[in-house]
Amino acid sequence: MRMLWDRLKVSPIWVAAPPYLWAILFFLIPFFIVLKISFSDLRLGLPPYGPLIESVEQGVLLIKLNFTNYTFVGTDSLYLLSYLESFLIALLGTAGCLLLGYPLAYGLSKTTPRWRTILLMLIVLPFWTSFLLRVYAWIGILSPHGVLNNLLLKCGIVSAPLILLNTTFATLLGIIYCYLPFMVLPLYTSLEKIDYTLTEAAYDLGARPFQVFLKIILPLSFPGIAAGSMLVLIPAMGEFVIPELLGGSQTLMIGKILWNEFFTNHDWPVASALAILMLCFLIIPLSIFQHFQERQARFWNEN
Amino acid sequence: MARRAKNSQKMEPWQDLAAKPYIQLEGISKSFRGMLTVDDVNLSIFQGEFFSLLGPSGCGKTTLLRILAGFEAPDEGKIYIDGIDVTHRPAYDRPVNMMFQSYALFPHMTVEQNIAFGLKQERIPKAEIKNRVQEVLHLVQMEKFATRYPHQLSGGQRQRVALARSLVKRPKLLLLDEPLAALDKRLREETQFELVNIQEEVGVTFIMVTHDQEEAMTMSTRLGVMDHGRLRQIGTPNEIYEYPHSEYVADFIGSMNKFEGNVVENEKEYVLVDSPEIGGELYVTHAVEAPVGSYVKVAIRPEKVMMTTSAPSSKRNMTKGIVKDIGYLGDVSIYHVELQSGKIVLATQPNLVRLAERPVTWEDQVYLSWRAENSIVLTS
Repeated sequence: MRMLWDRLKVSPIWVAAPPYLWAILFFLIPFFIVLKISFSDLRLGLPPYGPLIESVEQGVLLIKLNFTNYTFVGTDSLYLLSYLESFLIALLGTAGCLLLGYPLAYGLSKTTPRWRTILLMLIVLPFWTSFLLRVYAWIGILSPHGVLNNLLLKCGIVSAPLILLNTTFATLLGIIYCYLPFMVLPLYTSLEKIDYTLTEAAYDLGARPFQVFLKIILPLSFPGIAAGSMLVLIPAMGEFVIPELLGGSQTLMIGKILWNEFFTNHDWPVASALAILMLCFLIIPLSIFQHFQERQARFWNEN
Repeated sequence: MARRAKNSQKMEPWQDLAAKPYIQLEGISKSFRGMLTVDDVNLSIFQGEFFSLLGPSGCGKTTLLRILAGFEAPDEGKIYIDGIDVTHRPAYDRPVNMMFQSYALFPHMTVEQNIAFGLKQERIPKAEIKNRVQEVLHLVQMEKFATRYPHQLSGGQRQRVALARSLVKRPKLLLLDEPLAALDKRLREETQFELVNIQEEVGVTFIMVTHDQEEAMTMSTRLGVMDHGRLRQIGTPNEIYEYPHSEYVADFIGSMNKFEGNVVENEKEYVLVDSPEIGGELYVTHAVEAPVGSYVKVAIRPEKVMMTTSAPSSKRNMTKGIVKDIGYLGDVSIYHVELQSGKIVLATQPNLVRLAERPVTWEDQVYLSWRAENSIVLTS
């Protein structure tokens, strides 16, 4: 007993406990509440859903699980379509971030340490401004009489203002703009870790620059690509603010649908079921991410 | 030291004036940020040689190797390999391969894939790649580890894979950057001989960079001693050890006793130097370009110094002193003998008898002498 106490005293558990407590309090418990609501039935009143536990009588616990919320989500194609569209937009956004972010991160990893600090700082700088404000700024750029249209009209490239705002394109642009740093930073970290003598060895063995990139740099930066992609894909899928402000009525993203169900329809059980399903949707990419993290650890554990 | 006689007789193309060098460096210079790292290096290396570039860190030997590999472009000078000017060819277009100090094995490829990488770049048919990979794996005795990843191998095994990978393309020239530095002492000594055997078997010309003089002496046919970007002396291990041209080379390889003095007589067959440091005259049996009266240093290796308790018959090339220190190394002992002038002379003596029966000990007076043909005059 005494020994157990002594061990507990120096245990790393005390360092890990506060964040775990935080996660349990603000993530795990709310999750179970949402899970509970998703199995209840719709009621008018406060709260707008029925209890799960029907009655406790003579030692019998009666729990009523209502699956109709889930089956309802399956019957209305709107939900399925918005899931798919969210996934597609998030995927395109991730691809956009990757295409823009990879050269950026690569260039960053190749500059001198002094420049690197300045350039990294510039990438993190937008975070100093509120996310909401930055999305609002795009309204000013994309609106029919906004900065971009005025410029295009003045240069004579277009004769009438382009409809850019309130389109799926604007949503995509907003997602790429907002999530680019989340792609660049993990990419930079993994590119910077690559031993430059490996690329020299590849050149020495007769590989031309493009082959060196394809066979050495790209595979070795895969952990960064995976981490960056997950950091963009997962939050982009559930994104609400960007499609709400930049997207049009035809942009169906699951975040918007969720908001509608909660606050317009006041259908908490269906909204909760949607949220739970989205979570399941996200667990798949998350587990892929985990897989790559483990692979990376395996390759580099000696360096 | 040096390589076996049978081999060195066959392998002395530098003696033959008509022989055409295989690798030729002409006036190679390179500076970084105004610092001259490689300074006008001229070097001819013959086919099948095992040439070592020896020098302290920062002497430019690694830069010279990187220039040969094509990772750095020289500011001046030309490089010829087998008669072809490769000075401006990129690294991937040279018949040269390099074995890196860190081995630089691709961590995401197996041993087999690492070795096959270079062959795949040449678009060689798959079946041939497989055969050639097997061939080099056999050469370095790593067949059993073909499907392992680099991090699953020990340091010595990685070194073998790195060697196999750089040999599989059958380069005209193989560059080795401190190939044994990462191995522990025992493994390093074993590998030295193995590397030489492999080199003889494949017949590829090797250029090795090392700061380890013993390694350079054991393995090379010839070596070049570098200092501040310049090649100070090129020669066989024996030449470099026995006849160093300069004080720098003499000091860098092994240890050396040096006596200052002035030339008294300079004839065709001998030089006579008066040295107040030893309180006598030094007689050296080789010619040297130093006028009478000029200041020179006469050098003698510690193992060539004879130590006796009674005075030797000759009056030249001898001195006496008091034993101040004895370094016991097991097989030999190094005696630090202080002369009357205060100069310390090192004398290495084999331990012919056990330590307790040693005839000479601390504070004993001893006579030191050496044979005239074993000392050399250093003018620079």
